[in-house]
Amino acid sequence: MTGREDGAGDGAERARREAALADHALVRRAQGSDEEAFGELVQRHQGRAYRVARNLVPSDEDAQDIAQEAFLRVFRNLERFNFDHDFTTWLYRIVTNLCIDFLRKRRVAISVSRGREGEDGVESAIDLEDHSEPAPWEYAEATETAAEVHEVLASLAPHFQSVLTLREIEGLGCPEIAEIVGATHVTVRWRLHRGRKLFQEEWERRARMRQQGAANLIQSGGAAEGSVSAPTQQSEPRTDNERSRDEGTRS
Amino acid sequence: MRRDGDGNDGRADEGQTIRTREEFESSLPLFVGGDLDPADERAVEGWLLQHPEDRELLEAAARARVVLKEHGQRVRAAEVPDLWPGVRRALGEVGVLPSEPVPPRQWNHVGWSRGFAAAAALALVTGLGFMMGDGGPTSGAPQQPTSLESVAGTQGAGQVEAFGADAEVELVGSRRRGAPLRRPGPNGEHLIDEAPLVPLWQVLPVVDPASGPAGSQLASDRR
Repeated sequence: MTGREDGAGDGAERARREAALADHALVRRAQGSDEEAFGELVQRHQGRAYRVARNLVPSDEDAQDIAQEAFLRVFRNLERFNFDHDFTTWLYRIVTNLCIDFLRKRRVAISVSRGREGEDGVESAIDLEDHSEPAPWEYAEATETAAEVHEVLASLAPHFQSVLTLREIEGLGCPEIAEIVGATHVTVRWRLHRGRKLFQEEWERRARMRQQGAANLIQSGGAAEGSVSAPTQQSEPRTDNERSRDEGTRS
Repeated sequence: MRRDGDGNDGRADEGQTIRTREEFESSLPLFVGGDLDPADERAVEGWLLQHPEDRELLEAAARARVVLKEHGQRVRAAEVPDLWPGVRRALGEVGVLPSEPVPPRQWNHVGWSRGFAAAAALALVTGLGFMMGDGGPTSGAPQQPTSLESVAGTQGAGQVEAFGADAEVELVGSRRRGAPLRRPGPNGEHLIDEAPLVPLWQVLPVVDPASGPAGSQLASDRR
């Protein structure tokens, strides 16, 4: 690492500490029933809360509800805030826990509804996808990529999903993520390793599907696009994403 | 590559070299994200030097990592909804905050101008009190004659009192409504000891009774 990089790192760390101190000051004021201070806390951190939630739950509305609920819980528990930690760590923990709870309940709901439909009851991680959403190829290219990344992330077990989101979207380091998710540093590295690997496998599987779908489309003269894509999706073998659900649950 | 006690660390151990392709592959997800320790990074780079054909595996892992990284950039750049109105409303509904938010303090022009006007009036009255005391400009040069009526506009409204050494006097148009002011001695220059407390328009003509008939503000002088 160069001296300049060291300097930049020190500057970023200093800025982070200053921001953390400013958060603590706002928390103290909010503890004294200062509504304006709590409003400022919300304004400062609503982006973080919403982004994390948006990458863990399937819709904007759900993400907004969860982020809002997280701030309500923050307010109710302000007196219990531990000033040894950053406010952001506390907020991230509340948001990720709310999201994981949401995903678990949703998974149960999906499982029950499918059982009632007479399915075989076998559930895989991929089944977490919301099939009511428009298919990715219906979006413009940029939107399509974003939606597909979101779908792939959503296909992972919540534990992998949350660690990947905190690392890749929020840019947090493994020690801070460990503090947020309440796991050891080693476990976080393992989840990050498995999460990236599973993401890569699923992403590549979808890329192969797209290529195969395009080839089939050309062969069939461009007719019945949907009927070509759907069987292809069914015939593609699953990756070990199916096993990721059990791993995520255990870890 | 040795696994940790939990058997769940997918990285090369510090100071060790990678011996198999499986070990190399298991290191890639952390390697492409820059999450390996320096020693582990060197182990991966050492393997790649010896096995250049495995660069394809590295490139595939890096492509997936780029997809995630670009997704993160897009998400961070996206607009975030303002949550405070909803949070505030919810806190009001459950009763932990008042239902109506407390309006922020207003510092408008009217407030400032009123403050300045009050401060200026106070300074003027205080300065006038000083001028009427010892060393003030009124003790030297003769005053220009000033008409009581032209200043106070209260001709005929005043009361008439005796004007003597220890006589009680009353200002024309005074709002003290009969409360007497005492002149402190025959040659005293303080006609009114409480000048700062008297409204300015009433005090102005009360300068120096010895400076001339027109300078006298007492109805008794005009008699």
